[in-house]
Amino acid sequence: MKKNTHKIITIALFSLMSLVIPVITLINCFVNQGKVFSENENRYLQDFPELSFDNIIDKEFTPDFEEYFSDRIFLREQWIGLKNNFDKLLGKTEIKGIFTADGRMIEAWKSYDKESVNKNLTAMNQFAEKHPDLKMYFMLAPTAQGIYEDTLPKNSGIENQKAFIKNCYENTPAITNIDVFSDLNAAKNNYIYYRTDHHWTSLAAYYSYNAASKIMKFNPYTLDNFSVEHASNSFRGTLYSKTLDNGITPDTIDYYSLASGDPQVIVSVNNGIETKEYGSMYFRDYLTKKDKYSSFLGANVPVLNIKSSISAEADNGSLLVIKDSYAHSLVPFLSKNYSNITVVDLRYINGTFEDVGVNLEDYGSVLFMYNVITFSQDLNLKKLSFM
Amino acid sequence: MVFSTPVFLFLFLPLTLLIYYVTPKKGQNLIILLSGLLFYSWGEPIYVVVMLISTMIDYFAGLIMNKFEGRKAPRTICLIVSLVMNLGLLGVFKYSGFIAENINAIAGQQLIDINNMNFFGIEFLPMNMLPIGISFFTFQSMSYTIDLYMGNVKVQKNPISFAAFVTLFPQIVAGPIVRYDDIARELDDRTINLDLIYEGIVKFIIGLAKKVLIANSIGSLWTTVKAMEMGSVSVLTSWLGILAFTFQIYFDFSGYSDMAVGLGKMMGFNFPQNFNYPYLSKSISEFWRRWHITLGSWFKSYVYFPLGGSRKGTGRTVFNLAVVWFLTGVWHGASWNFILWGSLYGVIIILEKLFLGKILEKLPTAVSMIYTMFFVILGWVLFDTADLGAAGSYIGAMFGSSGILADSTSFYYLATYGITFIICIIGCTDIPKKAVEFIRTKSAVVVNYAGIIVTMGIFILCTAYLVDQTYNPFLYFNF
Repeated sequence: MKKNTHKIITIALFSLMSLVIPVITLINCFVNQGKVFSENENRYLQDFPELSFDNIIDKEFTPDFEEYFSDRIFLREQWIGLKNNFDKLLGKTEIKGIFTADGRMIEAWKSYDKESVNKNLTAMNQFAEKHPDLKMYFMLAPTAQGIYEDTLPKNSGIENQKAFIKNCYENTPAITNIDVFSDLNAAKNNYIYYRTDHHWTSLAAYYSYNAASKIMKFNPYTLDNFSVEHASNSFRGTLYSKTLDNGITPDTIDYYSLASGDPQVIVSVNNGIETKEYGSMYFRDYLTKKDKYSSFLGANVPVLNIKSSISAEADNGSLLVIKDSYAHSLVPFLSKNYSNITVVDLRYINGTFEDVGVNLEDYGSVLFMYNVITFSQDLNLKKLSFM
Repeated sequence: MVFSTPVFLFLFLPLTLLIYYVTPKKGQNLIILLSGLLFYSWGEPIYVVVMLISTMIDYFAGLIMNKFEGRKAPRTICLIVSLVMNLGLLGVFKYSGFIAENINAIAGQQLIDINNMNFFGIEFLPMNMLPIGISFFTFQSMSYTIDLYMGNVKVQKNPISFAAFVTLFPQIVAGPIVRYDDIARELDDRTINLDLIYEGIVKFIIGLAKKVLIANSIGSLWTTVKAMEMGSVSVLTSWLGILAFTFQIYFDFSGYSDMAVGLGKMMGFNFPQNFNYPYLSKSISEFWRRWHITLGSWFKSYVYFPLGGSRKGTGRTVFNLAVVWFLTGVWHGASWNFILWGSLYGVIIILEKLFLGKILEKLPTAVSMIYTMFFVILGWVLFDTADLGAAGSYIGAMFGSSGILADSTSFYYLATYGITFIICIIGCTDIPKKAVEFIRTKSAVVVNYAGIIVTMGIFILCTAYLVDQTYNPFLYFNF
């Protein structure tokens, strides 16, 4: 009898796991019927597939059912976390395209389509030549990979962001470059990139604002002019969603406002269907959601406009920002020096500027503001060639 | 259905076993049949009919053969019907597209429209309609009629028991090729006891780990290297790539066989072993006695021996071997790569039989092992590249066509996959087994209880890896 104890224990444990997981999963399936949204995966979980003869014969039922079951399996995210932790134990530094190094996650940028980037650069340059009366600026920000390259494993096949930025600047002679790489690199020991998200922090945006002031010729506020509000200490961003690594400290969302009092703003958001007005650039509703970065000027929309009541001597006029989401952290700073900023996201525009109510002659300056990864993958900048 | 999915592991298997165990002995074969049909039709809702028809024909062929005991002619007809039907299914589903392509190539024109073929009026696309496991279940089924014809087994009169043999889900899609003879006794009368269930669980978990933890991990390296532009791949990278596949296919296939053997045990069956440390072989002949053992023994019993084996002189032996190895190549798939792959082994085995074997015996073990692995690895290039051209350029890269011995890519892969490679190397030797046996001689208690922790730990890890495969964040990364 004693000889068999370990066999009985093994069988018991195996049976236990093989029964508990399905039972709780099925209860979970039963309780969570209908549409269920997964915040981390940013998608709706698979619905129970329609059980019909056609569906079965077309081999649609069973794969959908497998997805339905796996989507709701007991302890789903814990299993994934366990897997990723074990991978790390085995010496894997890259999981699902994310490096984890030095307490922060970094999105891996390993390749890009050179031809497509060149087309974008040409389109931008032509656009600048076509509108000589507008002052054009180009701010290409590195992502965390560019600044923290030295913390990543050797020979991991990543592209060099500094060289990429240099090359882009050289190929847009009609546009004035704003170098932010040097300032960010100098500040690399500060909290300039989120540990769990692919964006830069407000502090990084401040350094870039400061760098921009020298080129765009406006009087920047100094860092100690601002007071900082820690709006959230529990931000887990897109990189976390990929790895579900709980070992990385959640991020802090910081709002910078002038200690002397922020100017009044009117933010008009045109989501392509309607225009809504808000009294703040910080959309605090998002702080209670997963995607806390969107509390900076909300989610991406075709056109945003910020009117800020600043004094005439501080005002540098009207600015058009053509951008990706990195700009959402930057614009609050710029709004202290430009009374009228329009923010355009080319990814959401199918037509000309006029179609979305933007007249170029209303602006004195245009700022292109992208991060390296988005810029290298962008397929919309070429729309500029007919604008 | 596939073993390494959450639905199999945490829905199908527990449910099937639960019903199976509470069903009285008499009804258990029916449970096997029903669960097998569900298992098979999960992936092949249409072709399950093909399998059922083939099962029925073999069942009746057996009954009729039995009826005409002692009369050769009708028995031969039954056998021929069974063979024609099984090989015909393989021919239509597996080889028709390939044959048609080659006829077109030889004729230099579209004699046969591959995109519009029909079989007794039923149109099909031969290129993308291979029913899962057809190569396995036809061979299993044929073993019954052939053995019955030769008088090696007794007839199975119970249609449910016979159908249970064919549809027994553990081995239906990827072997081992269980011959009717192997489990004839257990089909009618088997006992399930604690020891067998325990062994089954352990074997199953080991197999699952081989597949999910090892094969999948190392396989991603092969996928990456295979996709590279071969002209610029360094020697080291290409060898790392094909080594990765060498391990991937072993751990994948033997893992699957282990899972099947383990599941069989849980249900009271003892399936034959399919692998016996093939990468420790000292000759190609030995390799094939240790790799996919049930396939080799199938060909030996039903092709090589009936042709006369090695008893009819050297010339005939060479011919018989050539036939067997050509067929082995063809069995693996309808392409010139597989034919060449099988033929390569045929040639080497013939040479070993003639004189090379004697030389190998005198060489140091290390040399004969390196010799064996060299050809095995070269073989895997043929096995897993798209066509002969791709195989050629891959082998070119292995021998320096790029002019680069090693580059930063090689070292990155060496660093990231280093630990996985070490696990693979140790895992395909008998070192783990010997280590366990050694500790057992010191203290059986330690092995028994550490065993619980290790097996359950591995099971938990496998679950984590399986669930992770289903995790698809749709992250709109660059908004």
